[in-house]
Amino acid sequence: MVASLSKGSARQHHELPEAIFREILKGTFAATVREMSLLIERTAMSPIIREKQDYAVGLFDAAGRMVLAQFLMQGPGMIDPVLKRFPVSEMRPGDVYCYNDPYLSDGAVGHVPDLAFCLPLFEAGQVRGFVALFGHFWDVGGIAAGGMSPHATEVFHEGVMIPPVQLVREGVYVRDLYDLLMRNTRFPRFLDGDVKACIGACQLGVKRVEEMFGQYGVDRVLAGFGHLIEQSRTSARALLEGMVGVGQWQGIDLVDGDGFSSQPFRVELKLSRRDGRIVFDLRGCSDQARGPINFILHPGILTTVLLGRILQAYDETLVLNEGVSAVVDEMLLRSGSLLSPKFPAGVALRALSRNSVTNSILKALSSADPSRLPAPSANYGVVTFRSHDSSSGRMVYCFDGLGVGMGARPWADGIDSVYLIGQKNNPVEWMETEYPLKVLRYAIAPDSGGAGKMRGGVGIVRDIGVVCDDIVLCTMVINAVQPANGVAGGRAGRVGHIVLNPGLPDERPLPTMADNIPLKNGDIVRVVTAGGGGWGDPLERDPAAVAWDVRKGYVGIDAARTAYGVVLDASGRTIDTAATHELRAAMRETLQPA
Amino acid sequence: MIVVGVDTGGTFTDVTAAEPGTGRLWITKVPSTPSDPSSAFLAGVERAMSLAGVGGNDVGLIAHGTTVATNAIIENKGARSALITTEGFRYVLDLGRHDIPRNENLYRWKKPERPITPDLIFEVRERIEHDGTVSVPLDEDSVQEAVEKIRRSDVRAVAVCTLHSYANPAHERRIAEILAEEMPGMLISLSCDVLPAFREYERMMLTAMNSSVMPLMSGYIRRIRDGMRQRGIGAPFVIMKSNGGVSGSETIAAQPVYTAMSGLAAGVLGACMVGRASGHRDLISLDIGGTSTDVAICPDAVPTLTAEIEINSFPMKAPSVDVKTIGAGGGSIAAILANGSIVVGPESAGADPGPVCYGRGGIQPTVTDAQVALGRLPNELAGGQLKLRPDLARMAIQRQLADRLSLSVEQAANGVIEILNFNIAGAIRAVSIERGYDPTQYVLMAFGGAGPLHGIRLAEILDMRTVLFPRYPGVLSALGLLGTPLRQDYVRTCFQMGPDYDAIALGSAFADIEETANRWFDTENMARDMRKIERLVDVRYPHQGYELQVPIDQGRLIDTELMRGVERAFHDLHKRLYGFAMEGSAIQVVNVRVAAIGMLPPLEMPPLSAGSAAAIPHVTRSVYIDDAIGFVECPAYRRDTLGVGATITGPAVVDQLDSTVFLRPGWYARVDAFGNLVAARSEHGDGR
Repeated sequence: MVASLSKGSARQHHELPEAIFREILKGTFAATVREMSLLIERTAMSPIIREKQDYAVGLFDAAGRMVLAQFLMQGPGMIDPVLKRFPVSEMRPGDVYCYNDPYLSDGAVGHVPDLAFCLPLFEAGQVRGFVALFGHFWDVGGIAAGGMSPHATEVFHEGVMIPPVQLVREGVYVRDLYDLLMRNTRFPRFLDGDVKACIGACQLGVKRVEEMFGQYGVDRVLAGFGHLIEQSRTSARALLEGMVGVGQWQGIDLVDGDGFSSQPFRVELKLSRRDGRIVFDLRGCSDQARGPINFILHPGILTTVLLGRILQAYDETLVLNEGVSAVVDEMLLRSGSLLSPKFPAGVALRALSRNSVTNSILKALSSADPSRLPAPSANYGVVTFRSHDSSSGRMVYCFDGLGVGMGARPWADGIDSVYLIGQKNNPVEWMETEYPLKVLRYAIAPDSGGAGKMRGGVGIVRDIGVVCDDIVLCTMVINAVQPANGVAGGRAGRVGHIVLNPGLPDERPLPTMADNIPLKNGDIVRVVTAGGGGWGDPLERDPAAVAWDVRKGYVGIDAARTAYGVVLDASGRTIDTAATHELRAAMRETLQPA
Repeated sequence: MIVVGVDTGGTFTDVTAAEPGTGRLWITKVPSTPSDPSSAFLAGVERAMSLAGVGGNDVGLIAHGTTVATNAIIENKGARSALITTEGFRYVLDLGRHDIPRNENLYRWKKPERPITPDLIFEVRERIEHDGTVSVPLDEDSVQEAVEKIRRSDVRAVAVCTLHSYANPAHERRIAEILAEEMPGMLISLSCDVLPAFREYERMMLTAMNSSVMPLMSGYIRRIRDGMRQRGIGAPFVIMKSNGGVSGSETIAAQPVYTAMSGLAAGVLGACMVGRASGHRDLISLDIGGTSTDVAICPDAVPTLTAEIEINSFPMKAPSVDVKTIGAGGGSIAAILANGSIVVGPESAGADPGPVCYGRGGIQPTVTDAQVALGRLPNELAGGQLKLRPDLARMAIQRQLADRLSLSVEQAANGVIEILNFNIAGAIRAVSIERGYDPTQYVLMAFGGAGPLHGIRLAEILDMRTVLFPRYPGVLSALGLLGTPLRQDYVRTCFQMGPDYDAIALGSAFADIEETANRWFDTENMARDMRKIERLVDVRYPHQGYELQVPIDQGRLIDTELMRGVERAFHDLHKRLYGFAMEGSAIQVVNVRVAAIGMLPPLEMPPLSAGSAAAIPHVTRSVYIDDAIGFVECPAYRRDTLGVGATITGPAVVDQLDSTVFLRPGWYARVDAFGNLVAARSEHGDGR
């Protein structure tokens, strides 16, 4: 990837009309971002970046506005903390800025393990834009390996906090800073390898965009940046206005708990469209939590990421960038609440509340037009295993992400057993080679998808056996109390749970948000994750689809009858059409309000 | 004696025949028969025999590029197949890597149905650990239960993939024995044969694909073999695989999934063959067809391979020629979306109705229409069989693109072509720059129906200096089949952490797969002195998730010194590909591989004898060069009048039966000894 194009002879593209040139630029930007992604996936060392692929890359303009990115759940606003601290006039080619402070970045990075890297783009000695990347790092210190623990009640517990700093100055690592960082991790080899991979990917992006400046002229490239943002601005606003009429719409979604309180936490969205203004009012949310489920909601993440993804479902050409932020005129938060916590409240597990923000948006939009919107989804689960062999000094830290069911959609069933976008599971054969663990079962969770005309996606079951002594379990599994609700007559998905030694005499339920659960050699931990909400009346589901689900084992033969009113023979192959008709009629009758 | 190459395409099946020793070559086409491609295959072989004037006895070898596996996998229309796996892992295929592809929207995306669905997946009690030890012996009663269920399932093939079988295949082999006893004749695929490498989903997926394609491929091969026998042809029948080598049809019948990229590989091999003959060895092959464009890089006229292919978002961990495909070609439709974006493809006008300029009812403008509107194509194609309608093409571009963009028809048409060009240039960058190769040092081989129209402009965009237009741009795949070596790749997972490698373990892993390779050579009746075995190791820095392949010297004992060389080579490669190396870090061996290559006599390309060395245009055409230059009255040459040494100077167009070369200003082109047109930049604009 190091070879480059020399600056060519006079090129025809100087003559191309703007409309044509823009498409060419867009393709080139996208290729650059894709190339950066490939580099990081091929070179990163920690499984969280290379297997799970928890990273994002993007191009930004000189004002820090996101232009185009390949991102997961964050990206907008990534440059702002750097711009606030370092004047562009002091930036030099080869500089790398780095931070992970969720508070100083107003939530642009969500928790401390996410390290952001920003590299300025230069042309004629001037900063013309930025390339940025964040990766979820394996361990940057904190209360326990990985920094992700329900016990991490302060942001300080998540790891060493890095305000925006210059990690590399004109191509040279700032040694003292680097040494300090390396001393603050339990796994220096991972941290070193991942920092190199992240910076390597960014440097590639810088090289590519600076080549574009040379090839096409900086003004045309910057105009291309601006155009992409404008195009999204127009499209996104029109999409949202097509979905909500004038009025006020509400969506409420609940988070199980924070590991301390068994009371649910409430995310409440009041979405209003009045006098040409669209306002997202989230002031009705619960107070901030003691446990680390607080979510510093960055306005760009609300609009471009959480809402933008939904809008994109209706127009796949919508590019998610700064332009999408214009979709909302105002976002109202209450300081001290779950979505605007006060420093230094813990945010390690903010993904749990983030999912409820998404669900509250889906619910509010659904209340405006139930026929068009998907049902809420469950949030992915994570369990980690940690041990420390004091004789060898070897530290074991296994991070296992677990897929869940997504909400059903008017146009399709919910996606079965997935973990957000582009994030991969630990292959069993890899996990067993690497850790003193043994996976005994990895399967879908039958009957977990919410019933509906369109079925919610199913969750998973994973039985993980322990083959060593002195290991502790940390559980971060949500939707174990609060289900992903159904919409438009669909039913909620089933909730998840965790159980120790299922089917054995010492079987017992385990808490779903807890740390330091001691395990012994031979123990088996069963994790069952939640399903997505259903969409539409289950009695309207095509009986053939129900029968197919039964044959695949996704829906039990009893649930086919009780939830869908479909009567099947024992093999699930034959539908008793007459009995189904009769049963559905009877069920409709009992369900009718008097 | 002749050798015959048959390449199945969507519309036509291309056939080539060559007479080794004499340099005689015949080229022909027959219409494809998609419902059963073996009909077109046999018709094509007959046609070749009659052209060459030989009987079945005189056919020495038939080599084939097939789309049977490709289409079954892409369309997910494999045969009904069952799968046996370890208890607890029935849903490995359904769960996949539990991810939504990164470029997809999580609300729109639908998880595709797997080649084998869970209703046909049966669990057996057994367990092998990652180090190969058996922790739960195979419970043969549970296998019998599975067999009973499979019996009732009406399947045509059975796949077997148990956990950690790459480390110890004993259970899979025993299950296969039981299946063979209980269900004689059942087609069986074992993951320890198909892909003995760790990561259960990827291995199971390839095994499942193999299994579901197997019944189709064995029936297909049987029909062809029967047909050959009826025609008195007793010659070996070999099939092109994704890895750019051929194998005998028996091998292919057992591992058909390795032909998923058969047709693509044949095209790249054809480019390499033409390049070698022409003395151009560092090549980028560019095949622009009606609906798609394929590019590949071939340093020293050998295609690079990858094991990172995806089809339908399914991983395909089979070594394949590293072809980058984009879903746009000459027939792709250009349209303006609601948000004002202009897209070219993936919608295509197809063969029917075809582009607007065909006058067969097409209404949406295509790339071909843009070329016609700019005067780059002659007024009729295929020797007069198809009269073009530039008026209709211009009108469609005017109404649907130009007016809405406030551009002239020419600007819009040129813009459509440029959008496609830059898209293709991105693909070329992906296979070159992103892999550490500098495209400016490579020759662009432009072929396929539309390749010769785009080649020069692409070379300009990428700063390439030489473009080669092969003599037969439409049948390079069928040419590539003649004289491709036999090749089979073998892999075995063997984790070894440096710097203290277990040389004995590595050596015995190699010995093991080389023994398998030699058995394969035996089944292919390959003479000892024509066998070549290349050794490679997959290495990485510890904890990385991707490995790089480093070749090691076949003849040498594996020892510390050899491994130090591997380490140095790996650091260098990592630096070249990714911009940095971690020289202080140890490295880790993950897999050992061998490529078993059986050399076949190379095909000599026939020299060009027809035509004149003086290039004389038959007409002139008004051709729109670009927005800066506009229309220029250009000489139009007929390719078949150009003899060896004929030189033309751009701007010019060169027409032949199935393709047109567009030579832009600043370039000249000369016909080489084999009839290829080799274009280079003019030093002073006069072409000399």
